[in-house]
Amino acid sequence: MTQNRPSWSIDPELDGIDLDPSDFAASVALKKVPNGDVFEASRAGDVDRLAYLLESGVNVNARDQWDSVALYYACLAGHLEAARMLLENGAICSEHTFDGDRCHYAALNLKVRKLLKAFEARPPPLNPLQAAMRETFLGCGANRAYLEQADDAHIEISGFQSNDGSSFNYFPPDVIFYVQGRAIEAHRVILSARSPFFRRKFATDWKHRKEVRFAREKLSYPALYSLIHFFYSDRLEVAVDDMEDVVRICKVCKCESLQRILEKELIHQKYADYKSLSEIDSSKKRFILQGLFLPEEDRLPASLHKILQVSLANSTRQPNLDNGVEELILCAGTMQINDLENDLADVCARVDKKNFRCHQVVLASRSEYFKARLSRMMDFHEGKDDTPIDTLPCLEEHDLSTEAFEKMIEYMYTDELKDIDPDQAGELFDAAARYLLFPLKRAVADVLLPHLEEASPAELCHWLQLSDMYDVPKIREFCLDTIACNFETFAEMSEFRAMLLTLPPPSGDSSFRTTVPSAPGAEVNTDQCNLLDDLREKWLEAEAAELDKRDESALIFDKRLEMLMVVAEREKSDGFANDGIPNGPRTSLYPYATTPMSSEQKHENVD
Amino acid sequence: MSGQKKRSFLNEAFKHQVVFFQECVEKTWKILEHAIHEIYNHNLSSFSFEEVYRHAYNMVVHNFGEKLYSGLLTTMTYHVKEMFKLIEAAQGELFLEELNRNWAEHNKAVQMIRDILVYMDRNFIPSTPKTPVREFGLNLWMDVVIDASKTRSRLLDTLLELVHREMSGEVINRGLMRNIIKMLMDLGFTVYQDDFEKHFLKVSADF
Repeated sequence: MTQNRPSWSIDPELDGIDLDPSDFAASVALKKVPNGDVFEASRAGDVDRLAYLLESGVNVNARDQWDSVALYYACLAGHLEAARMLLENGAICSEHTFDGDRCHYAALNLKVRKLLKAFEARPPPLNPLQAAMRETFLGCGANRAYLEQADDAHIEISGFQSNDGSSFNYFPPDVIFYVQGRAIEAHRVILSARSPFFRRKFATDWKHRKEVRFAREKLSYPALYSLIHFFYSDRLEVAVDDMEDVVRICKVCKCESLQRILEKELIHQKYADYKSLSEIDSSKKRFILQGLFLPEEDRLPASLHKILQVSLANSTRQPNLDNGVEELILCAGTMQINDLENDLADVCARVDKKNFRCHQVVLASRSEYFKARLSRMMDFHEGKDDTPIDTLPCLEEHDLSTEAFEKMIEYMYTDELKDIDPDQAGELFDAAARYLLFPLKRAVADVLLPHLEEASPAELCHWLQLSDMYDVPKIREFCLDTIACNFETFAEMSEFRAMLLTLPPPSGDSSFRTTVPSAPGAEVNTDQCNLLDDLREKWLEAEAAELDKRDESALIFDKRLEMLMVVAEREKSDGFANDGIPNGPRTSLYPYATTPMSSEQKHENVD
Repeated sequence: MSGQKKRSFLNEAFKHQVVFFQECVEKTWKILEHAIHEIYNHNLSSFSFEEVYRHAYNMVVHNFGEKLYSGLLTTMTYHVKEMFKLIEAAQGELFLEELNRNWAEHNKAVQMIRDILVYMDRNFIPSTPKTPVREFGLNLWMDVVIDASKTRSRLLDTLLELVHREMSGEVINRGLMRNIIKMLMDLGFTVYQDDFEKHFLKVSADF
């Protein structure tokens, strides 16, 4: 490459390149590095080892002794699959960063560059909590305005769609900082959680202030902005020129671990010029840091966890409200608030007479339900209570146990789910669905799945119904698979037959059951598939005859289902007569000769 | 063994809940219908957001999304038709004001309905080929109010008259004008172009 030819002049060529799935498969047998670290695995393209390392939570953006990141090696050696895995796990590939530029330069071929480009355009890979808090931060008008203006100056903070409907992500800030005449909008609880300095200030000088103006010349707006953005998202994006300012602010804010990392990085950046290929480039150098570099207790989930612990402790110390003497106790509550350790709670959720002190910004950021509810407080009945001004606004939630609610808010604050009893899972699925906390469903499913291995058939029926109702594909698949593979065992159980009655009948649409390809557009609603249709599909996979006999096998299955339903109907009417008596000998309940069919017998029938 | 018992009890409770809900679905829908009426009547203080939301959520979870959705369409259509009557009855200058006021109210109501039925909007509608609540609100306004044979020409005439008066030096209510133009833009850029811009440019050129 000639010196005066900027690297991106080849970009137009990238447009003509398509990445096929076949590109990701290695063309030659690759070396295995069973004991290699993330750098060796990336260099060798050993995706199995890499997958294992990533699973175990290795920091993908760490540098080795040669100041290289794992992604650099994968790009250098042209291992597309390895590079993609690293990128999906949050490896930084942004241009104008030290590591990102090296990856771009080192890329073996244009396909690798295409991959890097594709990932640069994506929103940064953040966990649900950090992503939600970042949305809230950028949902504030002033914050977004700076970002857009910075965008024009080519210091983009990657992947935020500003046209995403500003009202949608907006949750009003409760404090505004003015630095050099420009505003940063923020929420007290987040800043307090992340920095002892802000916590002290919000408890004392700034307690009742909505605005804080900094007059000091030395304080730089971009630096403070970057730091506050980091407080919300665990991701620091800063121009290298502003890094010294950030270090200075960290010192004041007592963010010690971050300060140490930045100081080290500053030294590194000083020498970085010699190491990267020099280029004619007017755009500013950037530095991007993922929260993974910080010790765990200094990251966002741990910080919010601490705040939540305090609020929960305070919640239990508040008297549980009894409706009769509500007002009296409310007064007592207000008096007590001053004694409590300051948890900055600004809303109270009342579940089954227990109060939970919470933070509006966290609830609203995590759940669209709470966002709508909190912003509509004034319109509805809740807002009309004439409670004293000093008490927290109260949200009453019904149809939910306090235990489930506590687990749920713990998840909202920390993205983590600890010690779930399988019995609780059903209620948590309900909570996740009701409060539109979709990642929680997956988290509960992950906890529940190992327990299902030992679950009884009756329990599996229960979970199948629940997972279908709350749309938890992982559990639903598992149950369907198990039932399809052991269909006869289930067919003998009254619980299973009873369940059949509650399900909508399988669709008569033959496109589901035949091998004839369905008409284009026929499968619009793949989400809301009929349970029995899916069960038939699974059963056919496990049991059906050869392809040309498949339709006949399906008919047999349908007949069998019909028969079971007739039995179930009968059991139901019998059940009303002698309710509560455990199932007697089942044979008497069979009106037809329904001897269990093995696959061989079925084939005979077909023939 | 005791665990086993507990679970099957849970199962029973769950079944009971499902059966129970099927019985009271009519009642639930009545509550929701009433709430939607009250939203259009600006009278929400007797409702709890949580309660209304929970009812709507329960309907969708228990597979009555279809009923909820069709009921919502009927109720909203009814109200927009009522609004249209008011708009149609307004005379002269008041026409635009009435149109603007009702448009603002309709928007607010749609927003509120969407907040209450957000579970349906997120979970039920995408899995069926149905229109999301907000979009339906716009379409409804378009079909009932703007597409009514008289409104279109009346709106255009009134707007152009205002433009003409402004051009000849009179003071007009610019805020109102802006809101109406914004409404046309919200309904879609082609609506704005066809219903206003073309004619506006022609008139301006003539002037």
